[in-house]
Amino acid sequence: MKELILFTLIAPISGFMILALSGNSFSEKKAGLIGSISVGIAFLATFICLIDLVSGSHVAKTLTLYNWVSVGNFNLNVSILVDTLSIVMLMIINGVGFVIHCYSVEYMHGEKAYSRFFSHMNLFIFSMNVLVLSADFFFLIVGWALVGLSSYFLIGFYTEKHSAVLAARKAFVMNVIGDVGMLVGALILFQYIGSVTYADVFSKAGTAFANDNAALAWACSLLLIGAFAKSAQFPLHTWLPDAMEGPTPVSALIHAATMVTAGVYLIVRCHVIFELVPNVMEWIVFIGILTSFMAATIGLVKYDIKRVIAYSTMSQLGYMFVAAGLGYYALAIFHLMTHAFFKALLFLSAGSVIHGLNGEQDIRKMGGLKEKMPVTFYCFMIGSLALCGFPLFSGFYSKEAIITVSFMSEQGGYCLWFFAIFTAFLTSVYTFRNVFLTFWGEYRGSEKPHESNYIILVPLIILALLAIIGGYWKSGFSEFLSYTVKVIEDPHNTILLIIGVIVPLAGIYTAYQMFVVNTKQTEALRERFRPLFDTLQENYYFDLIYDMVFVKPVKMVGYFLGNIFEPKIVDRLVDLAGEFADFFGQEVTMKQDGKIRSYGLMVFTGAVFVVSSFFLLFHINNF
Amino acid sequence: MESIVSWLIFLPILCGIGLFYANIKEDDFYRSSGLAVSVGVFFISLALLGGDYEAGGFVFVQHFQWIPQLGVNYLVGVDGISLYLVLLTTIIFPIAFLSMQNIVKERVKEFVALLLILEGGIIGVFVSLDLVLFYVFWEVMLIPSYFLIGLWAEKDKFYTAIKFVVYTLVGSLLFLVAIIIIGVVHFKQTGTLTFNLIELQNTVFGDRLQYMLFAFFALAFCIKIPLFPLHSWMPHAYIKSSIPMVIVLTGIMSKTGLYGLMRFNFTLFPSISHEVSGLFLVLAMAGIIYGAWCAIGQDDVKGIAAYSSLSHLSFVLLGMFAFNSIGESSAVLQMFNHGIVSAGIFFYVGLIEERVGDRKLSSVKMLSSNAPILSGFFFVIVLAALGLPGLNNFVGEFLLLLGLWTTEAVSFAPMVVYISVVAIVFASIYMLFMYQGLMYEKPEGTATEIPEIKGKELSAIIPICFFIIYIGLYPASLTNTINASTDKLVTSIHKEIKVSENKE
Amino acid sequence: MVHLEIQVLAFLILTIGIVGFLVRKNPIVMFMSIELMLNAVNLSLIGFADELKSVDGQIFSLIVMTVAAAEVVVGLAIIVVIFRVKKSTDVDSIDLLKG
Repeated sequence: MKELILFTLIAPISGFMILALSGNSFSEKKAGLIGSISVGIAFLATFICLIDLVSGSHVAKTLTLYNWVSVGNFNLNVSILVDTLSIVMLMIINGVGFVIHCYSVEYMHGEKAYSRFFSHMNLFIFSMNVLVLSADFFFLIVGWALVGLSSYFLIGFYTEKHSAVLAARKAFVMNVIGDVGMLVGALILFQYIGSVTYADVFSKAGTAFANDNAALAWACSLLLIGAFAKSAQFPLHTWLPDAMEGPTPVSALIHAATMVTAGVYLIVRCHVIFELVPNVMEWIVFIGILTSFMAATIGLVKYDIKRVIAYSTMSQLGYMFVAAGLGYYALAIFHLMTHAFFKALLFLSAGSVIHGLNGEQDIRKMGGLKEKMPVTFYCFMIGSLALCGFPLFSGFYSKEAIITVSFMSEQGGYCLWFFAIFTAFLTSVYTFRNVFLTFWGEYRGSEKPHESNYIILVPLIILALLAIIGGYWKSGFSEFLSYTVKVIEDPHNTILLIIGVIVPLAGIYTAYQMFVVNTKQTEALRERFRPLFDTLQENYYFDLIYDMVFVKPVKMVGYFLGNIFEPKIVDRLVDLAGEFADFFGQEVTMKQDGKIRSYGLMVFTGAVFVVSSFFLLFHINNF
Repeated sequence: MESIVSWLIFLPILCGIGLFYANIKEDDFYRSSGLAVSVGVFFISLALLGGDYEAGGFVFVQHFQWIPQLGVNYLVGVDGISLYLVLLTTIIFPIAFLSMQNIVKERVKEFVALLLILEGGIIGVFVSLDLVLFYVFWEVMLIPSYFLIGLWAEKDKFYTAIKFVVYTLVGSLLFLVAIIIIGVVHFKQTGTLTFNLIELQNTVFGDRLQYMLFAFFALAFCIKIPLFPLHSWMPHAYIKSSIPMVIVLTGIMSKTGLYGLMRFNFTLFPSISHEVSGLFLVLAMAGIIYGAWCAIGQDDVKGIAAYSSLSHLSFVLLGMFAFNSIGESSAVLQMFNHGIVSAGIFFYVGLIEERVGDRKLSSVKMLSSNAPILSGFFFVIVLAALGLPGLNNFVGEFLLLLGLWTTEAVSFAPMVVYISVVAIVFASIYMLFMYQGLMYEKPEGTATEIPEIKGKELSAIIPICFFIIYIGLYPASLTNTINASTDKLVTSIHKEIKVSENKE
Repeated sequence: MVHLEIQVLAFLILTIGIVGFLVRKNPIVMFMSIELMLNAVNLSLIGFADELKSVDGQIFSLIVMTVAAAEVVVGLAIIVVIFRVKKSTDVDSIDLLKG
């Protein structure tokens, strides 16, 4: 039965191979069918394994395929780990992935590189499955890099759009920084433990690092670089907004629902070693809440419908990091799941809007679409409510719990809670700003809006249902995960719960006042706080700073070394050796002037040289 | 079966000499006969895989006296270390011959003949176990490469060729001196004059003398690799030579230096190698960063590939000077990987230059969607070169860094790792610069339509991509053969180190 | 006993000889300088012979004198021949060995 899980790898990679090797020769129908069905098979296989796991004893199973390499004392097998955590992740990846693939069949209609799109989407599903199913750090890194690669492909899908190509490169390089961090982290783990498999590392870490906690802290920090880079956390976050250059289904699948949550998965998966270094855990919480707050503030001023959602993704990922950092792993994964549902929904409905407006993404050119795209509107509304944590929607159960935890847990406190709740307030303000500007008021654009057809709407409705009911099985979810990770019972606090309900409502009300009722005042407010507004609009100038501090110097030094230092100094020195020999030879020839006296001088100099070198030689013993 | 190694050496050399005297007008005859001979040599070399490498010793050994008065023997054989280098040679040469099909247009006969002689010389270098014989093949390798660089270079023909030759000769003459001294010292100690590597292993050298000998050996090899800062012949030779020659230079000839260090310096002077490992690691690290950084600043695609080669070759040294089984095995593995990948990169550079007539990133404009298969395979090779996990180069790099990280040779190994991994980030930057600069449209100007990849080119690219993916998925198939020999090397080094420590 | 003063004297005479050989253009004077150098060596040899209580040095100085005498004969003959050919004894004008 457990061999069935292999289909989650075989099916998508076969889909990728078939579509990639076909060039562009398949018809749209055929390519879409192959792409979707391969993911469908993966989902079915996952589902059967889930049932198997639920009906069985929930015990983790390792499936060893073959000996990958064995040199010196480094021995590694290719193996697959099936436990409750990986199955949950697989369900999210392949489930949401399948829905999004179906959606893309219509959304990508008419693209020149239709089958390339599906081949890369399949590659992504494969890579993500590798990442999740890996039983050791090495193949984790492999999956980690492969998802980065597919994300690169898909961000840069529109190869003729220069900004997309640049965004893809930026995302790739930033993710490589993360990969490299994880690589070195794995080296440290191997040095102390002698193995890189999860089983060995987690069981032996406590004793192996007993005398050298600093090394473990290093290892964990380096792994975290990978997590931060992939999950777009401060300071490696700048690639995610740019990644919106890719097609919308890509943003939904990779940059909202699955890939960017890999960092959270990593922390939860490795919580055994992270818990040994409490300082690092505190860092996770700090970075999480910082990113969350920062992203929320930027989201307030953006005009691109997708970028607003992208910043909200960053913000929600921050929440997950906070939950994971505080030790509430099941909660983090739970929020990961609900977030996957409602964020995929939001992106896909935004995609539907964009599709209906023939590619328009600026919310200033939308408005009044409520009547023109009713289904899309309701789906977008459900997604937004879930994102805000509106009671009875899935986001409420996960997000509200994280906010409560930020106050009630040992490491938490007023300060953390205040930022968490304030971010929640901002979240509902910018989310509903998006809703109001898009669907309320007068239509301000020039394209003729139309509702999308059923292939786009059915996935939306499925995801909408999930976004509503996704939060209802929380206790069962925690219990299921408890077979793999440590689960702490969520604390309850009625006052915090009431505040947690009121704040999103207040946010929605504020957004309504600002963007529907008193738009003039909002305009005035913006003018008054122009510098702040500009700072936010420019993402706190991070791109500018990185460009000045890293990108430009690296390029300049590269230019200097390659084109000035190398030919003018290093190579010149070598040439000088040749020129010296040449010069010396010419000089010696000139000295042969036939005059007795100069010969005499040379004889004497030579004699002095010979005598003195003998003298020196006899005093350097036994050469 | 015994003589198979000799066949590998002399078949190409004899065919090369024969071609010189051939009197046929059509250039195509020479092109295809060169390809045929090299493919034949490849198939013969496959027989080497049948040897028993479990014991770590030499197999297919052939031994007879050559100049008995001087104690010079014809002694050849392969072990796990040289096996994959010989195979790499026999794989790369057909690729070089395939790449010359449309690139070399004048003096085809001479080009093919010299390239074949070069192949024999390189295989000879990898299999010689007698120092004098090794030196002979080392020089046999040099002479054809002088002409191959000089006569077919794009520009500065004389300058490029003479720089390469003088640079390498400086190293190899001192190397010759060292070989003679070793023979003499051994003669004084035992009374028999021999240059047999295995017998020379136990020779004891004077304290200062062995440093000098080590330096002479190392200099010859480090120039060939090239190790920073002895690399300045490399950009000229790589950028200005014709593509087939560059494929051979970077794919195999650089490995002769690495192989020489491992085979001769480590065997003859184990304790000194161990002692100076810090110096080599620092230089290698400098080369890694320097090469990567220089590559970022290049506009010429060949320049990017050349400097990336410098960076990647220095990586191999990191593992070699770690002196543990992981490091040595992965060094051999990585030599193979780098040969395959760099040959692929340069092959593509030639292929694109042939189609577009230009190889400057700032001026080439073409769109990958015109030729999906061509760009797809190119991207696989680029990804391997930038060290994408899952492909062969990353396997090597990971294991090399692992070996270095767990080494006991130097105390600052982690520092070297931390700095070297920056080059992996740089690699992704310059490789993407290169790929995107060539294959994606730029904001200004229009794209060039290029023809799709052709059958002959595909037959060179498919093996390369096969190895890239296969080794990424299943490196054990190579390392299992390599392990025994490297383990033996490491054990003997550590035994020697213990002896010298006890002496102190 | 050590005759340091003898050795210093010998060294001084040798230096005078070397400098004289190098700076003078007249071949006769150059010859005299050579004689000075040879005599300085003789002096040094005799000094050491006394110091080491061995006659080797004295014998060797006699050989040097003999060689010097023979050398003068040959040298003067060459100078005469050169004078006959070149009508001059300025050594700087003799540069047939120029490379």
